[in-house]
Amino acid sequence: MSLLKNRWVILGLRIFLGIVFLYASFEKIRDPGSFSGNIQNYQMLPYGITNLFSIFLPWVELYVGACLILGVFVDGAAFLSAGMLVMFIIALGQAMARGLDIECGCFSQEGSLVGLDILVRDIVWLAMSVLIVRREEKMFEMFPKSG
Amino acid sequence: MNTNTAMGQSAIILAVSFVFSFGFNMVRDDGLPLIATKQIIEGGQSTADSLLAETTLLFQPVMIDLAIAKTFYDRGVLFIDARDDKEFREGHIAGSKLAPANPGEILRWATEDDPVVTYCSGGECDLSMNLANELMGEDWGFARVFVFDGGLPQWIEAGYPVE
Repeated sequence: MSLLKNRWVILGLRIFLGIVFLYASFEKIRDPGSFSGNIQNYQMLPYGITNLFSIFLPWVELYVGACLILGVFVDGAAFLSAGMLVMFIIALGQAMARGLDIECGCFSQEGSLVGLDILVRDIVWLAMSVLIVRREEKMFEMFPKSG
Repeated sequence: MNTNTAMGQSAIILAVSFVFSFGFNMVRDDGLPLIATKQIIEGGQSTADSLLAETTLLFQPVMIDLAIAKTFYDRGVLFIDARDDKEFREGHIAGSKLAPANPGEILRWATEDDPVVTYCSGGECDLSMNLANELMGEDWGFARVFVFDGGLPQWIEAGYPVE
């Protein structure tokens, strides 16, 4: 599977995932109250702390997205990307197992319900993050500098 | 901090996010309180059914939105009007009961294990939450009490049955 280690492919994955995270972060930073409601609907966290998540998480998404695209701290950004996606997959999985028909809260668009398509999509993105973490050749990375 | 490892870099990204997220939340006009004080469960029919399931354990009353309240209503859950009897006579959710002075009298209509929904006039009204807390407290021991946060005004606005 040398294609999946190709530095241009890795660069493409970095930019793609970076855009996904940037896009995901904007609406949540603009309206953390709605995002807090989305988190509460998953019925997974004690509701007292959902605001802490809704304030903090979008900014992690913002910086992870920016770092992946700019080539800054790519190892850390891809690691955090994988970590967040594992968290999302667990949240989605438990919501589906409990039969909650709730909004995903993934991006800004309303009416996108929790479901298998979103779970699969997150698993694909998780795989992309892992490929970036395990990359062998670095390409256009500003800090730490590539080659 | 070793900036060459994924862990070191992650820690820096998280630290920067932490400073900017909570910093921005402090300075923006519509910043959130750090501790959420109000939770309203939203969702469709299967979320409502999962709340009604006898295996669902609640430790405190749960606020529900209009859609879930309507599903509960259609499933025949008991609705209790927490307002006073004058307001109750002027109009209430069809089939709902006026909260008795002694909450224990609710046992005439339901058992402690049955789900119960309380409501009042929505907005800043906290009678429904007070009643719900009382019902789930030590004295009465109701297991599953829900508060329909929108109250009667939202119910009427949606065109659902009143009497």
